[in-house]
Amino acid sequence: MNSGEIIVCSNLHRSFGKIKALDGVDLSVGRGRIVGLAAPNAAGKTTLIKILCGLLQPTAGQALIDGEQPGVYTKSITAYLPDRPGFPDWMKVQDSIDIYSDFFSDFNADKAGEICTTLNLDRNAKISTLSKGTKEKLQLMLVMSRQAQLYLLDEPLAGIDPAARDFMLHTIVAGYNEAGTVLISTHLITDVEKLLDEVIFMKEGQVLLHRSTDEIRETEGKSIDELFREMFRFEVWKGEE
Amino acid sequence: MFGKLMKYELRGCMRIFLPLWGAVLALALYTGLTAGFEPKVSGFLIDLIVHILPGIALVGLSFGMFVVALVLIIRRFYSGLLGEGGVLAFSLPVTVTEHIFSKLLTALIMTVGCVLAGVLASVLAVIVRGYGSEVQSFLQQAGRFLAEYPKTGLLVFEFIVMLLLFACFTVLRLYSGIAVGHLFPSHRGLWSVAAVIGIGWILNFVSIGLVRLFSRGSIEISVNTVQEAMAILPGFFGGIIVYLLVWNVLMWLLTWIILKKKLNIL
Repeated sequence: MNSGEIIVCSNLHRSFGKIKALDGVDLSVGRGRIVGLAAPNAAGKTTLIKILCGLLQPTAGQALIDGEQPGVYTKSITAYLPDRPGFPDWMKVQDSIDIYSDFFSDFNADKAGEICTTLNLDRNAKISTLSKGTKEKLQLMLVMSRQAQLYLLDEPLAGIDPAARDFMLHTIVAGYNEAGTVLISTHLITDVEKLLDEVIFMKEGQVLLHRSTDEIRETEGKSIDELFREMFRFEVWKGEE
Repeated sequence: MFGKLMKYELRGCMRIFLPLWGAVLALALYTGLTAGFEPKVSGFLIDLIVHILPGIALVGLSFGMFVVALVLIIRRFYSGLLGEGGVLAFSLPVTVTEHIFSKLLTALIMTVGCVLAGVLASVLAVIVRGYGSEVQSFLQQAGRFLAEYPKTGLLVFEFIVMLLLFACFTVLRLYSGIAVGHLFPSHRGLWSVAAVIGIGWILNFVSIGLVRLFSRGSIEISVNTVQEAMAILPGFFGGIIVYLLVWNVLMWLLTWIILKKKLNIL
């Protein structure tokens, strides 16, 4: 196992025109951790994850994964669950498994097959014919069938009914490489709280808080969800309270 | 990884083109076979069904496959790499060079495939109609010409290279325009079209400028005999090949730099 931090962001900036999506993010995440990335909408969660995946370039600063800038190597050790599936319409479930099998040496096809059976997924079904929830389950199944060093899960529970959320969480916990790190972006904190070792709160493109969940519970005497609601209540009501 | 990328690129395209090329060849065969066919019952409706409609369908399909190729070339880069599909594509451990090259090679395979299907369909229709001896005679004459003027082989080779480079340039010009367009947060399609047109203007401006620079305002090429043409044309074609190569490299670099340094998958 490599030592050192798996994610290091230094003074990371990203702007879209006049909008600052990330505004000087400094962040270090260690290995073997499950980390929650919690923030209200438009706080920069997806932008940060996309920069780590190499899908976006920072305006300034740098993001490193395992000591390297996003590129071929970092993509080979990172399993990314996007906020929306990106498979072409013509592909079947089996094609998506084949792609992961072909491109990622850490992909476990047997494990993917088992989850397919559990989900009752027809491998010959066209992905475009699957429901939104099933597509998200398929995507999660592919990502969690990898023994990656870093899992970047962007809103894995968004748009999923509460019963299916348990399945998704079970798939994450049962599937991830324990030596690796899982970064879960979400605002459904109650659902993931019990899994988290650390939590990062973001606001307006900046890291507001990055602490271990045990430490928060001990020092603040409240759950992560309670702390989140307390910190961001004003944001939601926009001063109407 | 390049081979794996090509596998999925070709699978995505050939599921459309193999049936299309097959249909063009089958229609060419059908029109060729029915060209001399005189049905016992005559009339406009019979003529329409037996001769006219298949002929129209063949011409339509022959042009249509090039339109489909153009649409697919644009769509597979615009949506497949820099749109929704980019999320998957750029999550794979593959270099930008491999991405662009796989798209370009697939585009060329589609284009060349359409040309070959068109040529084959024409030859097939002519042979089936009973003009096989004419085709044979044409090939013999071409062979004699080649023996008499050995440089013809070089010319044909240069011409094919020129066509391929022109096809490459057309595709890379589209790619670089789309890459420029994707830098904008909204109206990416419009910006892409504007960029493709802008690149065309720059190309014209530079080309006219170079012609004026080297010819001091006028070009006079006088060719009176085949021998004179054979002496001049290889160098002329060679010059165009070098010029196209330079533009291909420029378009490639523009696309590569944007995808490598300014990728903006929203």
